[in-house]
Amino acid sequence: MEKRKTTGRKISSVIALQTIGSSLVISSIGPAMQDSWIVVIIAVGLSILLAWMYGALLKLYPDRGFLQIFQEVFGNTAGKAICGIYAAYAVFAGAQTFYIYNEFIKIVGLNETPQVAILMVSLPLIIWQVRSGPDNIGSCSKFLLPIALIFVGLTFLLGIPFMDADNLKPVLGSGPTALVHGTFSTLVAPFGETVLAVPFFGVADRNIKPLRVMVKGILIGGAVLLTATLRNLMILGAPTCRLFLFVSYDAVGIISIGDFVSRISVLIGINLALSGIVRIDVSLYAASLSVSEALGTRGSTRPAACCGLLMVVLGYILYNNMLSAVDFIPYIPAIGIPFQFIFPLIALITGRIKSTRRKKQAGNGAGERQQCRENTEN
Amino acid sequence: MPDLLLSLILTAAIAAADFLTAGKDGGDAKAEKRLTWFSVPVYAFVIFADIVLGLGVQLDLGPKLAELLGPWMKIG
Repeated sequence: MEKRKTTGRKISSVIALQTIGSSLVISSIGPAMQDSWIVVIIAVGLSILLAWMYGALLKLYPDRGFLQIFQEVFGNTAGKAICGIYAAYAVFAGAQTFYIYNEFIKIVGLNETPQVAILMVSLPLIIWQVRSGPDNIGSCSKFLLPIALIFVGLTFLLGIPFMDADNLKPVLGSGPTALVHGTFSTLVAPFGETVLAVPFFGVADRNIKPLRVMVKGILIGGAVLLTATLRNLMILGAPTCRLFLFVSYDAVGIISIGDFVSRISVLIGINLALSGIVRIDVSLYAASLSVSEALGTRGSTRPAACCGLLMVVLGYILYNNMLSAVDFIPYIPAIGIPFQFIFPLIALITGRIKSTRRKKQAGNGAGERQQCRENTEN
Repeated sequence: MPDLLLSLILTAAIAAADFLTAGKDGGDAKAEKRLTWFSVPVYAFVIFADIVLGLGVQLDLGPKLAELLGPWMKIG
């Protein structure tokens, strides 16, 4: 249904901003404490393996979208059921982000404003953006990504006088268990959530290489997360970081150089708000595409309106306040595992077996035809 | 969303916009019908939830869901 083809650069920007926006939802300082920056590096390396898996799946069926592949591999009914479950996952992921996004705006800036007023501005725009198609989300992301990169770079440079490199010591002191724990949770969220951006390849240029595009996005997002983690750790120290809800915002809030450079935490607020919107966009696009695949209405983004409202309401059904949303964060990776690892892996293995069988059958068929021709000639 | 009236207005406006623009971009009529049948119960649920939440009922299902998932699911 999409008329314009999305370019690889746009999808890379979407993936990068989606990863950057995760720092709104998930604190970059996990169980590995002062070693959290090492965890980010390892998780980026491992997430390239995940990207390889998604890329291999897309390569196996180049003329199919990510969600259509499930129908191709598992059959119509089971494939549509998986699309339905994917829609539920995308709505859940979007609900989590949307709730924290609204709470962030309320806590940080607009204490007295009713949250529904913020929603009245943001929700119709987000729905419109998704209904305009993935190319539109890609174009927005391509424009917003340099802004995010400049702001993170700037806050790092301005934060240097307030940093203490001793906060990173003892290096690897958190122990192997915490390191593995932290790596796994960072791998699943944010990097594993790239799975929600994979449906973008269904409307992408045929010439682009999905693996290269995903790796580029992951590397940019990973570099920003690494910079932000190092900045936060060196400014606040790991134990203090764990006390804050929005670590980046509070770490940068400390930076003040004379009267001229102060209150630059606004930059982080803008960053989180912009990348948060892209993150919600990606979840909403994945949800509406999954719903339309499950209903057999290929490629329609019309369910974006009802899925968007559902995301908002689900956030308020799930959580009473910001603290209960934060308490739920450790469970998010566990919910994501089937969608990020299990379903794609099973689809890849089944798809490979099917394609090998098809090739063999085609080979046998060609052989039989050749034999028939020889017999007739004789 | 504690503001009952405003949240109902938001839901109604988005639902109206959705139904008014349905099928305007030349999509398959059968598919549009199917999507409409899907969205009607979703909007009904959202309105119901708006009313429940707007009346001050706090569901807080997150911790209950976490309890259901069990401590073995806690990662990180």
